[in-house]
Amino acid sequence: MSVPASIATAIDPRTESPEAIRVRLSEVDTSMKVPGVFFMISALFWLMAGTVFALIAAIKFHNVDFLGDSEAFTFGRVRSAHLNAMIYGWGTNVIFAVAPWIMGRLCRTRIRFTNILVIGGVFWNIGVTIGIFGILAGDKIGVEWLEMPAYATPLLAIAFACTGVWVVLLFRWRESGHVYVSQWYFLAAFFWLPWLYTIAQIMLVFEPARGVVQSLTNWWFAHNVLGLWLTPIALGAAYYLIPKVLGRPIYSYYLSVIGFWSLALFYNWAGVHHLIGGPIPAWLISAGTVASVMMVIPVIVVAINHHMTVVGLHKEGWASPTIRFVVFGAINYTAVSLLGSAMALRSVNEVTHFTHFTVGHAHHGVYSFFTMIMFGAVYYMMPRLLNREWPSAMLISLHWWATAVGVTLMVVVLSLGGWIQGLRLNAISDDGTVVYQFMEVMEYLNPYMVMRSLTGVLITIGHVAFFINFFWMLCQRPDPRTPARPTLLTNEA
Amino acid sequence: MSDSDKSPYPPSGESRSTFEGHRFSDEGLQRKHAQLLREKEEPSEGFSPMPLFLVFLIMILSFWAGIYMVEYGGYFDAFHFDETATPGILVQDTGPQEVDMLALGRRVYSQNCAICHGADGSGQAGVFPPVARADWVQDNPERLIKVTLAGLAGPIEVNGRPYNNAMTAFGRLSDQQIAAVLTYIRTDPALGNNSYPVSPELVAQVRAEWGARRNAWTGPELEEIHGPVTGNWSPSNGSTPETAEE
Amino acid sequence: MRSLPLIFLGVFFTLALSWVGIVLVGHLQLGDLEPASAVLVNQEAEPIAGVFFRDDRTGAYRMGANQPGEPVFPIQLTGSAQRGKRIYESMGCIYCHSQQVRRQGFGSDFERGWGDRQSVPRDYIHHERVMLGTMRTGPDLSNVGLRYSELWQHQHLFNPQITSPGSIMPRYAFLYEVRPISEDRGPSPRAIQIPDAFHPGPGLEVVPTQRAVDLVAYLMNLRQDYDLPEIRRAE
Repeated sequence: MSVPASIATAIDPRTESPEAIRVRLSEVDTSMKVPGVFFMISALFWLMAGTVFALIAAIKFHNVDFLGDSEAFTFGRVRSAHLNAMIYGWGTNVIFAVAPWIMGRLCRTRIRFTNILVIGGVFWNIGVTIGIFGILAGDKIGVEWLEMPAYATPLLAIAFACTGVWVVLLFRWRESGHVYVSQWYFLAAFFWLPWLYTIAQIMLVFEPARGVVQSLTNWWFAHNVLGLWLTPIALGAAYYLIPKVLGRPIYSYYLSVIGFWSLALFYNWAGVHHLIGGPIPAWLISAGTVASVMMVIPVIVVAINHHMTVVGLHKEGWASPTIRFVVFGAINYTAVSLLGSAMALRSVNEVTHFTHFTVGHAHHGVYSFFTMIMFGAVYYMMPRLLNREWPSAMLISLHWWATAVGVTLMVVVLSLGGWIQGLRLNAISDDGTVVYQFMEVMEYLNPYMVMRSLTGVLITIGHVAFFINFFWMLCQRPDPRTPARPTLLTNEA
Repeated sequence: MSDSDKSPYPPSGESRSTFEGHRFSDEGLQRKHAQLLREKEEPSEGFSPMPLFLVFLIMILSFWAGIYMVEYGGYFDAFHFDETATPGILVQDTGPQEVDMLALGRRVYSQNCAICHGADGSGQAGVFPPVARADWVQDNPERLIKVTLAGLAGPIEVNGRPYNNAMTAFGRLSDQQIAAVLTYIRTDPALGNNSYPVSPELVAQVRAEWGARRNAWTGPELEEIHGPVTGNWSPSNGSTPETAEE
Repeated sequence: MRSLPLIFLGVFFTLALSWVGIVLVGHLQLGDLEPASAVLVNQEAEPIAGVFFRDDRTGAYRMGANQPGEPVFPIQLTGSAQRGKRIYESMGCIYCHSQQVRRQGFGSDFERGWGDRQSVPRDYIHHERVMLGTMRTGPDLSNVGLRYSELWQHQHLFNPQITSPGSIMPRYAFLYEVRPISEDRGPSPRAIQIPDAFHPGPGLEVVPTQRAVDLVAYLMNLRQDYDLPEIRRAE
């Protein structure tokens, strides 16, 4: 191995010619090809598996008899199989594909020893597979977001040690003097997740804490998987892709700094808002509420920074599949976070807690924001890894419309239904009796549940389009004589 | 792809034509270049200043956060759950209070009975007998108190229709709650019943007599004590089995 | 912001802050709560283990202590209920049922009869797995052991439509054995009564498996019908 430090000092990136930089980028792309494709294939299979679990769970909400006599596919198990397949299967695999690639590009250093990355990936996927079979078989742990049985954990730990440390090593080997905002987010995320996961495993599974300390740890962990793992990765990817595709510098370095550190400071306190009204001391709940509301600062900052970078370039953005998905995700980050801050207020939470509003909010965050940005990143990354173009603009278009419309409708349906559900559950008449019996409220929600399944079908169509396009791209042999042209979604650009 | 790992890493940023050359065919090189060349610059950062309103926003939010923690901080006490309450105040004994039996009864009904007997008291054919316009409800209150205290199992007939299931015992409810809920179902016009109220004293009396009973009543057992269900009981036509038989 | 150690220091301390604040301080405050001896609301305060309470007559704060022979709350789960907790966990009941009563005036938990006092941390000290829940597709279960009989629970699990027509709760019929009534021994004493409309057929009986018995034992143990010292301050 060469001594990277000496190289780093030998090269001043500011004097490096643009061509030289491009050659370095191409090296990063080539080195990431095998692990990138491996992680993407795994991620896509998990995405499809998670989608199937989601549909089964959604149908059960309006059709109790659907798979009603199957123990493995009883609602409680399918639902956690869905969550784990999406977060640890799809989400984390796609992060393992995208994050090292962007990190490598920003560090101007190719990814070395990619075999270790792939080995880590194999372990990770075996771990998640065992975990999900364990859930379906009934070994699940009754802790939300941590359902995978304890015997899957060591595999996941080994896998993360092999894979996650790579992003940090890449940063150590960086050959660019400048450190871009995406790199902070990635570094932080790859440091935070193992900490969160270790603490949660110790305090909830191996040496469970006593009483409601478990719940505190649970929601400190679960909310931070979203806030300190999925969110920084998606934000980092957006920070890279928006200026990259549009060819315009990000609006303000100062805003980037404020956005990053305020997120780091506030997000990790916010999880307690899942316990509002519960047997938790008031001061802890208040701390969670305050932190959730303070999240307005990083959200507004990031929103300004992204918006001011995109502004005026809407036509170019609309033509690029990457920008369509990424900007959709960035807009929804603003929306979902501001909603989340509002939901953490006790008076709002009194209505939304325990209802489908929360479910809608979770999909808003993990899908409309995180997953959509990851889709955008994949649309940008894959052609460069494979040195091919996406075969079908039509399928990309279908993917875009089906998922964007599908998830937006789903969030609207669940939020509306959930809000009314909350109001009706809380409605008390003057003589101290409830206005709506519990069953009446549930029966009222039935049409919403049917609509939710329909939006789920729409999203599934999008996923199938993505799946086909991806494997089509993987299988095609590009004709070297025809010049490669980018797959764009509109003709003007 | 293994060769990409083994290939010598160029030690500087100078031209790498040889380095690249052995990895791509000419066409591939062109394609690669086409992709690379159309790529825009790597991201960089502008240095636009922070908008002024953001400074105010941060100040306002920080101010609010401080106020909120002082107001709703719960004194950082582990046993302080209601953020609006003041610490150290124990619940005061306010003494006996006048109770609206109908309102209490309606609440007890909606909490405990409505899931089976229905919010409107119509029940479910064959399984849960109705309480609205029901002969059992307008019969001897002691029979109802016994059923409420210890539950009821096995076949019965209500309004001439057969029902066969088991009812949960509600002995955990207080005398006053049972009296209230029975008063409610016997007298509330919305349920279509028009009979006499039940007093907590009567419940206490039945509980004293039968409170030790653990297993549910059956229809015939109750009929043995109270006679057949007629649905037009009144204090004058008898509250005890002896008078009922006369 | 170019230095790796600096960034690491920053991200370390931000997360450490919340970890200490939420998890560690939470653990210090609530992690070693002891069971309390019974107290009665609106009556004289009895000594309570592990907590300070204010003596109304003297105004002084005193440390409580359990007296030998006094009943201690919450009660430890029995073996069957302990196994039932595993079934509850593995069936994912937590995704539709919460186990926490919110205080009066916050939501409608009291009015729905889900409890007549707020749940407090001490209620959960004997729960190996605390499943407060975040969703109420079904009612709260903090006091479900008080609200229904064992038979009701069995019927409800075998087919929720028996007890709650229109419910979207899945049936757990796979926890029950539907078998022909033995000709020699007659109906099993453990068989549960099923109304005719839902009965699997003549000559058959529905017998709960050990798992169903355990699960119902767990559900019947879900009850917060005792008083604790902090409740008097909570309300």
